[in-house]
Amino acid sequence: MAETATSLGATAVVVAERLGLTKRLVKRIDGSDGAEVAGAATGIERHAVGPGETLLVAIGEAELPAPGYDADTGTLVVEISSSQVVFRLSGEKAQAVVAKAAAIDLDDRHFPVLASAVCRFGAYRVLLHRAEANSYDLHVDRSLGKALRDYLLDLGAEFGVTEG
Amino acid sequence: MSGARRIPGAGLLAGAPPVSFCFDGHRHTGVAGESLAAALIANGERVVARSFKYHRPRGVMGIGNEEPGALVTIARPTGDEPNVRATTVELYDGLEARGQNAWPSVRFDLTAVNDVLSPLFPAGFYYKTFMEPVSAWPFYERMIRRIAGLGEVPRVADREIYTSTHAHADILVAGGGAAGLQAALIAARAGARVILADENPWFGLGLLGETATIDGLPAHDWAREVGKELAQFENVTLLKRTSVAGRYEQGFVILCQNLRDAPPAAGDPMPRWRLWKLRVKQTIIATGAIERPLLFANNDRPGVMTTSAAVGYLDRYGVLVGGRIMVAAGDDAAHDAAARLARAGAQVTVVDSRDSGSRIALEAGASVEWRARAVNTRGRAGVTTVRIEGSAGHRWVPADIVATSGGWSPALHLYAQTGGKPVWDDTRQMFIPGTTEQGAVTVGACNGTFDLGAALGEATSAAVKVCEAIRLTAAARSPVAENSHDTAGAGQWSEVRGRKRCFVDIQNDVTVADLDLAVQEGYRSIEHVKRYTTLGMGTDQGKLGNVNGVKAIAEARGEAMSAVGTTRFRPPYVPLPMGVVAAHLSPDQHHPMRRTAAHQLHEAAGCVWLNAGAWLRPQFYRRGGETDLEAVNREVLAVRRNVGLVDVSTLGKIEIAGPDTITFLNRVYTNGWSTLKVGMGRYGLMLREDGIVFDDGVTMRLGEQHFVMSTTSSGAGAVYEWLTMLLETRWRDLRVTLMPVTEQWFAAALAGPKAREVLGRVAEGFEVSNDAFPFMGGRVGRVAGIPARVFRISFSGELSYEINVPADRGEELWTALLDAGRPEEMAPYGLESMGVLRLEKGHFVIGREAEGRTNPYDIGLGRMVSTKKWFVGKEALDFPEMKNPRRRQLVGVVPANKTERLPSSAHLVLPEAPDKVGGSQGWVASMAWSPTLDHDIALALVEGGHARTGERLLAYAPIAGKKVAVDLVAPHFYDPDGGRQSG
Repeated sequence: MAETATSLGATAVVVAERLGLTKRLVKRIDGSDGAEVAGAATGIERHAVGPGETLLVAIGEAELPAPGYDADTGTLVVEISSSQVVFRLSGEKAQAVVAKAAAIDLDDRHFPVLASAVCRFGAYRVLLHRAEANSYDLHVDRSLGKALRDYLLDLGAEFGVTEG
Repeated sequence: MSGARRIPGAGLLAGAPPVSFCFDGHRHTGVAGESLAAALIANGERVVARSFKYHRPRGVMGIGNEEPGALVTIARPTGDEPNVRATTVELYDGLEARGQNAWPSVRFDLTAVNDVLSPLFPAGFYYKTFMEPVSAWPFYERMIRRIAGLGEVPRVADREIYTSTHAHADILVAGGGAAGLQAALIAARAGARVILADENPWFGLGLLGETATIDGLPAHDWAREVGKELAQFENVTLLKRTSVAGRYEQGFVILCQNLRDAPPAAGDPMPRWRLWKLRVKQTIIATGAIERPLLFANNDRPGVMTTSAAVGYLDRYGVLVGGRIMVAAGDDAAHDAAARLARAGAQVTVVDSRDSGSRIALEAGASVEWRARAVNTRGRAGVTTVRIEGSAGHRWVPADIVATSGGWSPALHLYAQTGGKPVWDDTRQMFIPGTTEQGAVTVGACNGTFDLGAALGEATSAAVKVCEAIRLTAAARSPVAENSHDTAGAGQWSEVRGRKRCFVDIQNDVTVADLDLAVQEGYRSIEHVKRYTTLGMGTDQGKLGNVNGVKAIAEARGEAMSAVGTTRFRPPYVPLPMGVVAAHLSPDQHHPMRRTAAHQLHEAAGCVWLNAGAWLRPQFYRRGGETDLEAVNREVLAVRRNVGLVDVSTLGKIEIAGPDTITFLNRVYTNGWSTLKVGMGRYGLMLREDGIVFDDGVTMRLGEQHFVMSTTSSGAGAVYEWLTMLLETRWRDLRVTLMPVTEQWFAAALAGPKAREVLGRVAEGFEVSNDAFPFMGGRVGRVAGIPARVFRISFSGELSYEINVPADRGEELWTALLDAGRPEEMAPYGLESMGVLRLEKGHFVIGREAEGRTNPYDIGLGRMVSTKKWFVGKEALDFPEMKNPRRRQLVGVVPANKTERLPSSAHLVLPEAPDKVGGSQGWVASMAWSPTLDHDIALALVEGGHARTGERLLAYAPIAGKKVAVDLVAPHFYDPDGGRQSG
């Protein structure tokens, strides 16, 4: 018998917005990796999002390098805490929901825990991050936040979805 | 009269609950999970549909997707579904189906008069008829539209739930028969990620009734055990009721999965169809073969079906298709089938064209006639008698079912989509795969291997090789099949020369005579004959009829089958619902709209929304019972007289930094940047390489090496990509870095003579006087306590400040500014009003006046083209044609009589020759009612416009039939010197 939303239970997928994150984009003129700008500080996610472009996400009290341009090192740090919203999909069917809209290979061998990829998610351009085995973060432009949230709820409906 | 009946305890659904369904208003009982076709047969419904052209009665001929004639409409709460093959619908309680293409019903169809008139309607008749008189065509068209086609297009939106998913696998096995199951098992055990897909509800259906054993087990039991083992593997995905619909380049395959036919329970969001978008490394094609029917006169009557379908209904559903069954064939497999039908209780007659063969049918109680063929049938609403010709003469024999088998045609569609070319096997009398491309292999019946043991061995070897190709080691043990034999034989062909009403394509009513006619008329290529006659162009895609058609064409051309070949197989393999291709994407999700940070506030303020490119923006804010024009006029005048507030967050913003930024800006803009001071901004004009205006905006200098560029809303993405491309490919030596920050900032513009007062109440950290904060200046500080960047720029032509704050504080800023502006009765205004304001000022807009063909000189910005430096587009601008005075140039347009309204979408023509073909002098690019000036205004592009101000033309809208006299004026209608914005 096919799995249905009712048979899986309402917690098969949870969609929740991650609030209170501080985000900075680091770009190097020479195209080098800017992750080291954050030093060895803990509580910081580091995502390579383009050539010489690193997204730093501070969780909790972790400190990020201040916005501005450092002419000595050719490093531009831009505040983007407001510019994106982050949704976390979690639950036993989280991967199935992601697979509905993202064409990348989500198998453990190719997209293990802590992997990130900038990819298309339906009509959206997102940073997809596998935070835990059954948890995926989607970073999307703030202006598309409501539309993406509605989309995630729509995608998850067949599995049973709740908003967290 | 049908002698069909159910055999208790038979079939795969023995014990399933009964369900009630309705066909054409007649209530029946069926078994949950069986196909609608099986239920119709069991209930004696012989006539299920009418054929496309002649409206001949059609019954069930096949058992799966190859079904050509049993097309019905299913009534569904989500919208009726036409042209559904009854063989593929799973019965559920309350199913309502009806026949189609008939009036008043499929049992009694008045439009069957077409059959009587059929000599007037051979294939391709419409290429020769309905030509004269030409004036009668509307009548012909109405008539043809009414009688042509199959099924009715639903009139309501489809509310069914569709979805899609992406997937990746090492190996796709297409087909869940013996060969497919074995290949999948080998690969799964080797650790490959395997997807096994079969269009049927069960795997291994072809093994039902198989007498051979596999590893000591009855063949179908072996299939069941393999299915259970496969279900245990985590690296295996089993997909039933899933068609492998198409294979494209680089291992991209689409599969169409049917999850349910029954309507869901209320509120259950279970989708009905799922499209799998699969990327695979290797494909094992085990798609089996399709039985080829024999041709004879009136071979299309209800009751004529393939032999495999006849036994299939018994094996799968426990339905004996008839009481008096004639099996017309020429191989031993048909005798096996005849024996099973006889043992189930039918009175069976076998007519076999050979001299001798198997005795199994005789031993089961069937009568067998050798050296005989079926050549005609009678029975309007279903077969009643069959004419046999043979060594014993000819006679009519009673029968309600004629089960025919002319041989087997490997299902080569998926193979051909991999780029392979089928070849004709003269010994086996079938098309088989030729060479295969890398990444795909054919096994089993679709490879021309019809012996079960050989097919299992072939599948094993193929799976081992495929695993090696992806660096996996597979155990090469093939199961042992005992008593297996070649079930296909060499096939036989009908002798149909000179015989009438031998239907090759059951759905489209294409006969052997039609194919002969096409060849006679000069159509040689199989592709042309197909399109001329519509052979194989129905929803069944010719699965049963195409090879018979190739045979008929070969005979008509006097050539070999190999010379004729097949038509090109294109995806999809089966018809796909349109909804599953679009999946669940609603219009909102296909083109999601962006919202600014103050969206909720605009909504609460009663704005009228406008879809502006990717953004939802307020068009204007209606108060009370205002008309649209009253609202816009009020907003425009509020800005001109007091102060207004507009959300401009959508404008693109790019942070630029680096020691070479000035050099970079000099290269990408036409004007110079070297003298730009920190804290000031400058308007820039950006061109394409061909010298045409691309984008514009103000760039602010925030620091020695730190700038923020603004772009148009629609150009934000394109400009960023363009600049990134330049830096990463052509100018890699420049030490510049870019970062798009459009989303980071919420931006609101205060505009109007009282803007300074309002800003002064909420600004911190900078002064707002004209001396301290001049026009084009930029300041960093706080506004209403929020960290802000403030730029004094103007699109409206009034004193104006663009205030940028982090987007998550956008609502806070908007509310604070409205509060601060209460003494001045500050009003929010929208995009429509902003458009009027800029038009009054004469500011061009990308996409309107700069419409992809205008250069800076055309729009009066020649002074911005530097002669001292190189920039993108400079070489193109140096061409003399770019300064041709006869080019279309930007001018203002006002009605000669100010009380007259300008027509929209107007061309400008000479008054003395308004209707002269080719007489357009140009056209209106933008127009609006100006509440400031109290008359219509417009910007237009007119040939040599700069030298023609003062000239009188006509604004002519031919579709509306309006002509209005207009005067060409300078394009700046209001405050041409710019004193209001810079003071």
